[in-house]
Amino acid sequence: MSKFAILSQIVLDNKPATISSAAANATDTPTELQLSTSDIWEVSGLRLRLLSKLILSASDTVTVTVDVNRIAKDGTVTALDTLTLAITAGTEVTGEMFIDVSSMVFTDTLKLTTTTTVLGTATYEVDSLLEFSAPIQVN
Amino acid sequence: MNIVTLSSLMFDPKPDAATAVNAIANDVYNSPLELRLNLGQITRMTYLDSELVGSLIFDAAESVCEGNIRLTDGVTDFHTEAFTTSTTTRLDFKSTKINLRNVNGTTPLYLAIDITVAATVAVTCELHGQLRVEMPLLITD
Repeated sequence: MSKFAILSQIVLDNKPATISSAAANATDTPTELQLSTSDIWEVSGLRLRLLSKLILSASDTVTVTVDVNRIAKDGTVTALDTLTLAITAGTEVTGEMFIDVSSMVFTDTLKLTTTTTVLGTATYEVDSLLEFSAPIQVN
Repeated sequence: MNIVTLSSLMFDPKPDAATAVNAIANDVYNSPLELRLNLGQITRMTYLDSELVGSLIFDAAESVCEGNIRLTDGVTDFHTEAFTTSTTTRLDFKSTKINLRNVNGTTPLYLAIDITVAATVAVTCELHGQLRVEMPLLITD
């Protein structure tokens, strides 16, 4: 029996847009940068971890949610999970969560949607990283 | 048994923002030598599925600039992505699937920008690019 594992990272957007926190914007990963059809969703035991950092242009009180969205082949969008990033009188906060991707299939696309839920006055960006890990056992 | 890995390989996490696009020329931008990608042993795989994705960010809106982003090793271009600016400052792009199995694993890959229709004013851009590489592996008894 052999055991090994894979660990890899995906950055969906190297240069995320700057967003005003003064309105309840919902911003998607640009279409071209979404994670499209992939065999990775078929890997048994796959675990996906989202790591995000919210950066404000100036000290402010802002809350942003990051939805991890599955887009099915027919275009149906399903939120798999939501990470909340809240800043109170500050400029940066980080967050992470594991996401259940067992419902994903080969033909699915994945995108992130950021939404301002507690409004402020500063602008912000959200930098995110997806980490894939899968233990593999060969008998 | 099927095993798949998927990873994004960055060319440059902090690309130079001073690439001028107001003159027709090849190689107005090349990835820095030290940050180029050496795929090494993974090019021995029978199938190495990849996509070139990224964003071209301009310092001002430019409506008449055209050019190409090339994935190259300096000899062979493995993909050419044509771009045409619009009135926005950001162009996102995604290539068709590229099979990198014939890439020489010891020759670094990099991104190059060629300008074929020059901007009419002094505009600069920065190229954020990554290779998303999928490595399928099949183990049989």
